[in-house]
Amino acid sequence: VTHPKIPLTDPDVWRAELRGWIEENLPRHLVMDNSSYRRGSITELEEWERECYGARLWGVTWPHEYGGHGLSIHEHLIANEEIGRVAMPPSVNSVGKELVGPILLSAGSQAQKQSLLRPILEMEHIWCQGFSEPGAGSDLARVRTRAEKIDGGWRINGQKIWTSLAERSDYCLLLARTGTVEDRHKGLILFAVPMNTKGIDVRPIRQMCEAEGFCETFFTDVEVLDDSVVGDVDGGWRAAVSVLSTERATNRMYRGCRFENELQHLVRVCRATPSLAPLLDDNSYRQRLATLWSDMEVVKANARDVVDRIARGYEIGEYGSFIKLHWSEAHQRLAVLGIEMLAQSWDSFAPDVLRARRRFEEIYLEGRAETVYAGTSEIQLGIIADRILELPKVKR
Amino acid sequence: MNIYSMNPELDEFQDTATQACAAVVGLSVRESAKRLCADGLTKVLAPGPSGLGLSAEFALPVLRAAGAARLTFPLGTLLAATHLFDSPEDVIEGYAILVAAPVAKLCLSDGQISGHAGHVPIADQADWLLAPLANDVLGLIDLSDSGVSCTPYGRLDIDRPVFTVALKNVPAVVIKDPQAVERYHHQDRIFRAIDAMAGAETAMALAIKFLSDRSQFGQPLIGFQSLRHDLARARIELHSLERIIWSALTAPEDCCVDLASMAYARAATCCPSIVEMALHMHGGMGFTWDVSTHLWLRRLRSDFGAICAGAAQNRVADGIIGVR
Repeated sequence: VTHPKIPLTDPDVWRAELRGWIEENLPRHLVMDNSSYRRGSITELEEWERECYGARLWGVTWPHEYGGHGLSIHEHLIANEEIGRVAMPPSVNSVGKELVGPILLSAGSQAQKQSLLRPILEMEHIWCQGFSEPGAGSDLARVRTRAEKIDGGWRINGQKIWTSLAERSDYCLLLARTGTVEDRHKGLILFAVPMNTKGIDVRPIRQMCEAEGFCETFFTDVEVLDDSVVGDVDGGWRAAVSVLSTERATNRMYRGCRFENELQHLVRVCRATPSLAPLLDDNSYRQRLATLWSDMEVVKANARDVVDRIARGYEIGEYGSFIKLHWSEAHQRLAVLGIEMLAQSWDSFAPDVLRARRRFEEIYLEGRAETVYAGTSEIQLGIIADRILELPKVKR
Repeated sequence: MNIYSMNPELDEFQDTATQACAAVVGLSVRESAKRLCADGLTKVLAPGPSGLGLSAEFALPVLRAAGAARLTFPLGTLLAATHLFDSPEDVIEGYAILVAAPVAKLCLSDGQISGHAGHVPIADQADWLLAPLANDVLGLIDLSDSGVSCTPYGRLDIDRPVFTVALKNVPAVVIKDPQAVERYHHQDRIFRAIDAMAGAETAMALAIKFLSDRSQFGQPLIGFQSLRHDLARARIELHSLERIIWSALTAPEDCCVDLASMAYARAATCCPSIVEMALHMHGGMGFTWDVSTHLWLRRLRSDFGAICAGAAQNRVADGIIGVR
């Protein structure tokens, strides 16, 4: 995606504008470190995201003609840092904004860009991702969902899994196969499939963390038009790889600042709670907090580095594996420390302590997925070994 | 792609520094100092007519090259301390060898210092010793004074042995400018981290070479996934360390996070472990004298002997949680 390489606004003014807007407009009950927090309804969250888009927090780098704000990656980073520093709820359309948008911008047809991009930002279209299958998780090249050419379009048959939010999605970015499984990376095709198409059956999957939205999706003789194909026919794998590398490096650049928000929340609650305050004098906890603070600084530095690389015209590619692997594992360590420390306030029912305990329990449970989605840790290690260390490959 | 790929000037510095450091391997400390001066490496951060007056990030390629060459000459100390001297010509021109004590128990009375300074590298070959007197005070001590005696401490680093230096009523220059002293400590922590990172990178490269050449069970060892993943984990540790080092070198002066201590702590935690892993990957060969990995292991474990990762983590914790 080509977008401006230099900042188009004064960074301090841009930051102050966004920060001021968030402080003024974010409902207190949606702030996860606020004692009045309650989980927002989907409608409420959609409305909040729509307002964020209007305030230029989302769609920062997307071109004006497709509903974006036409700014640079530098403004994108600052917007993410401001999103991260406040414990606001995660996007309910992150697949649309962080996966589908970038891939449509790079591989979609002009008509697709015109019709599909703006509704993502305006929260009119929620998207889900149809990549993984029961037999094709980390090894995406084993996708079996079949796309068969018919007159004027394609007929799709297969099963997708981990299609988060599929039951409320308007579209699915679907990876299918035109040839056989033996073709591996060849013969893969991407579709933008309207979820109200006949033959699609979505079944919810109950998640261990109790959050809603996990699904499996069945496609039975689903017929889509030719103009649903994203990118070249049989070029789907290339586009998918582009999505995944984008996902690892440039998405959720707010993570470092959110990590900092979580650490500060933990320390703040411990300091203010008589049964927890002594933990802050305990050397083992101090050491673990200091290590996590350093990890958090690495997450933030990695985001700045990605921006620098993009601005200078470098490909991100496998560099995203560093970022994803480091962040996901460090964040899991933070969650463990959080529940361990807060568990020692078992006799406290103060609202701030209860809120913190609930928040870190959620981070802990939801965080178990972080080393799995978007390429497991083992996949990232393989990428680092193969493409960054360039270790010789051995044929068996 | 490393951090220099986006900065051709740093990349060029790395090449020059690598050649210069390789050229002094095997030379005496004094000869090394003069050669490194002739190649400009001692002058990188020094201001004024005698120095190059470059910004702190230029220390990264220079000290990375020095660490990879496992120099005996303590170039990092010199670069960290240059700003403490009104006239640094003697040390940056290589006429006087400056070393530093990471730890000391010293007392100052009537301008004279007594006590002990620990873990001082090549104290027997140096001219000046920089040692902490208090939190924000340093003493500069003439090692040729009759009140100075040096005793070897341990046998870990045989190329750059460390000493315990006893001082008895030794005259000293007392450096009290808190900003200058803080800057010295800040840079010293970062530069030690760079030195260790370079050692770990070099040891890793040796391990990769060995694993690529050595076959077992009918295939090169480098093909085994567990070894590839261990190397990848080490690489990500070094990448994270490099990011923190870079953040510490380029942070604005009013940055309230102690990034230098974070860099030191990360280096002290991961670098010796990576060298240990590299040695282990050599199997029995790693335990032989001829495989040089043990020399980096000795260097890193010796360097982090005085101030361990935990001590640096405590400094970080003091900054973010508050002093106990």
